[in-house]
Parts: sequence; structure tokens; C-alpha cells
Amino acid sequence: MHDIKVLEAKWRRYRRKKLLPYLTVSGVFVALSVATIVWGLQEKKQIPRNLATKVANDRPYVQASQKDTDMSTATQMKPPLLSAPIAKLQTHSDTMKQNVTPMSQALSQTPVEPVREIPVLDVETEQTNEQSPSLQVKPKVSEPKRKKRLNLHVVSSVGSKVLDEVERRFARTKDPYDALFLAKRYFRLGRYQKAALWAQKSNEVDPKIEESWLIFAKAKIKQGRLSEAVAVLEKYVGMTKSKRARRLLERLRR
Amino acid sequence: MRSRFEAAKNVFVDSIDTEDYIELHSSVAAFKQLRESIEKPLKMILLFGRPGTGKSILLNRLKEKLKHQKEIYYFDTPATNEKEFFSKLFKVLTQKELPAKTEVNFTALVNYCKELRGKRDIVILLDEAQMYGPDMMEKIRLLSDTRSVKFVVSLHKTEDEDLIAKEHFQSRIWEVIELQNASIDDLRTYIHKKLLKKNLFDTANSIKSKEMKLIYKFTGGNYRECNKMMYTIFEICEYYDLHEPAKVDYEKISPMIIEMAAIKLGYIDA
Repeated sequence: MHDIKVLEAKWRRYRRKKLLPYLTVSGVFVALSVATIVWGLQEKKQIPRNLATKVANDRPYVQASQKDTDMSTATQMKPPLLSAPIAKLQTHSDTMKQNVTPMSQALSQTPVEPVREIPVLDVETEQTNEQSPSLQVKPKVSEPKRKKRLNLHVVSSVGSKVLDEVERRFARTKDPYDALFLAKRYFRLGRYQKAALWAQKSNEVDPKIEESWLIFAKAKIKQGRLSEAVAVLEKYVGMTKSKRARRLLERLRR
Repeated sequence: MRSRFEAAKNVFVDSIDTEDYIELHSSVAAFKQLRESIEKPLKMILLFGRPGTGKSILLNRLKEKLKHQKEIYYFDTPATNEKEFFSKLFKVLTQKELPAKTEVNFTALVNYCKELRGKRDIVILLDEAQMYGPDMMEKIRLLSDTRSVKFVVSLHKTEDEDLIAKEHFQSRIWEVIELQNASIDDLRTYIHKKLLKKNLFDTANSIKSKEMKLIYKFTGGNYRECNKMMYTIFEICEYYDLHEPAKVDYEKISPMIIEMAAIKLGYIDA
């Protein structure tokens, strides 16, 4: 048989062709299994990470409401400096570092006005009420809280224990988002002086967080210190051209 | 130096020699039916089946078995024209050679056959009858009508089977025997008996059940295809036995060799 080598080569080719469907199916099965396992592990890791402070230190979280998410959905839960605007900030980092000075410096030039209650738009109606620019205090109506559905089972707590815990944690970690959380929580409780204080503390750690500027300005408005609020907002708008800050400033000026 | 597989290879050289005839259940049944049909007062018997189902060897065996009991003749090669066919028939019927440069007068031949009725009982086995044209078949029918000559017509099974479906011909066929491809058991018996006939016991035992299924899968139970397949398998084994002994297992024929044989014969498109 003079063609035995050719025959052997053909046979090997035939075996490869015959095994190919089995190998393909096995490969797909293995890939799907691995992907499923990896996805499962990631899901397990993701939930603990979001609840890291709660699980590790028994820290309750605020129920995720619509206004919270409107105000700082991305920034509250995410570590700072990860969203697109931050990238913009980074490209102009040099100028920003020069321009984004803590609000304490902006405030140092403004005269201190006596405290007087001035009606100001509530945070809840800021984005929705475009037609009534006048700053009016609306009566506190228990509006139904629009809850954003998350894959998290969170526990609502406004107790002082939570705030104390977060304050202690901030003293340890200097996390600006902890300070921001306190600022928002005190603002909601109507403790505007504390809200401004914590907003300022958050700003001192990281002046790039917009929420800290806005909460501070709103807290000042609530306290009747309009000039301080205007000064801070003007400073911030000058630095960043923030639309939200500009909108709030325009309302104040009206 | 000769390989042990050379003898096994030669066992499967395709032939219709009656010495190579293997008795299987199916072939025994077909032989019995054919023999009984010949005893009946029938004019024509049709034996048909796919190529390689054993028609020719069956007719040959029939002739060998009945040659001392009946006047039986086997036309293995079909005649290319009528003149040649009737020359052969003339010789069979008259037992004389046709004189040179003479042609058979068909009418005279038919009349001669009528005269033989009751005196002689002639059986003519026509193999590869699909090669005879319609006119020739009509004349064969007319000769069978004389009842002195009985024809056993063997032909391949055709797809449309027009020849059998024609009414005037169908009425002459009183018996139809169909040969089919072997079952896996018959094929296993066929291969084993062929090898055992030549005392190749070890070689017969080296074909296990799994390999048998593989051979059956490629050949479909056809005897001719099986002969080709086994010949090629042992040809490859013979080569390895002489040049690369590590690749051949004497205890078992490897599926690799069977598949290589199938590739060589075109059963696998590699």
C-alpha cells in the first residue's frame, strides 16, 4: 500500500472534523459555566460592597428616596471622583485647584448678617417648580415619598445614634461623603446650622463635591443668611459653571 | 516475509465461485424459495435485488445443486445483441452449434420449443437481465409461453421498476423473489464463516462486536461492499504488520484501520 501516509493524514483530518462539534459544545458549556460562576461571585461581592458600612459596623442607611437620588444619587454611594464631571475637573485640575477653594475663604469676605428667617425654596421642589421663582416656604406636607427601587433591603433610621455613629466615623476616616450625609440629614431635620457646618466640613476635605456647595447655600438660605449663600454660589458658579448652582442663584436674586 | 493478514485479505476477493458460498439464514431461505419455484409450473421467475445482495452466487449455487437433477443452464453474461443470444439459446435447445453465417429464425425457434413440451424441462438462468432490451424480453416471454423453457430472470432493483410494472410482462411473472442486504448478524456470520473456512480462527476472533457495527455502518450489509471493506482492512493490516507492527493489534482490529479503509473506499468523505 503505497498511499498509507496519505490515508493516515486523511484519517486524522476526519477525526478532527468528527470531534469538532463535541469540542465546540463542551467549550460553550464550560464558558457558560465559568461565566455563571463569575457572575454569581460578582453579585455576592457587589451587595456587601454597597452595604459595607452597614454590614461591617452595623450602620443603618437611609431609605433611598427620589429626592436623595435626585440630589446625589451617584455621588452618595459611589466613591468620589469617579464620574465624568470629575474627569473634566481633572483636566482643569491646575486651574481648579487654584479656583476651587473651600467655601470658608469665600465666606470670610462677606459680612455676617443677623439671622432672619427668609422663605426659601425647599429642596424637594427645586427641580420641579420652575414657574414660581419666589422663595416661599411651603407648609410641610407629608408627601408620599417616592422610593426608588433598589436591590437593597435598607433600614430607614433618623435616630441620633446614626448621626453620632457617622460623626465618629468621619472623625476617623475623614470621608467627605460621610460629612455630606450628615449635612443632608441635618438639613432634612431642619437643623440648618449643623447642616451648613457639615457641608463645610465635606467641602474642606473635597471641594469638588457639588452637593456640599449646594447644601451649604441652602442651609444658609434657610438660616436667612442670603448674602453668604449668594457669595458661595457665585464663587462656585464662577469656578465650575454649574447649572444647578446657577439656577439656585437666579432664584435667590429674584 | 509474509504477513498473517495476507491470507485473510485473499479470503475476501470478490467472486461468485460456489466454493465461496456462505450459508446464511437469508440466503438459505432464498435458495429454498427459488428451488420450490422451479418445481412449480411457472413460466418466469423474477429474482431481483440491489447489486451485491448475492443474486449471481445464488443462481450459480442453484445450478450446481440441480445440474444433476434438471436440465439447467446459466447465462452469466448477457448477450450484447439478439443474434448472439439466440445462438446461445439454439445451442441449449438443440444441443448443436449454429452453423456459421446463419441466423436463428425466431418463429421457427418458438415452434421447436412447442414441440419439446412434455419431453424436456429446461431451466435457463438469466443473470444481469436488466441489460436485455424490451424487445429481447418480449421474445423471452414468448419462448416461456411454450412451457418447455422456464426462465429465472435476475436483475437489479430499479428505482421506478418500469420493467416489472408493465402489465403484459407482469402477468408472465408468477414468482418474485427479492434479495436484500444482510442484517448485522448475517454479516457477522458471513465474515466469520469466510475466515473460518480458511482456518483463520484468530483473525475471525479479532473482529469484535463494536468493530462489526462500524463495518456494518459503512457497508450497509451489502456483501460486495463488505468484501471490498474487509479486503481493504486486511490490506492495511498487512502493511502495518510488515512495516509498522506497533500500529496493528493482533487481538483486535482497531477502529482506526476500519475508518482508514472506509476513507480509501469513499464511504467517508475526509
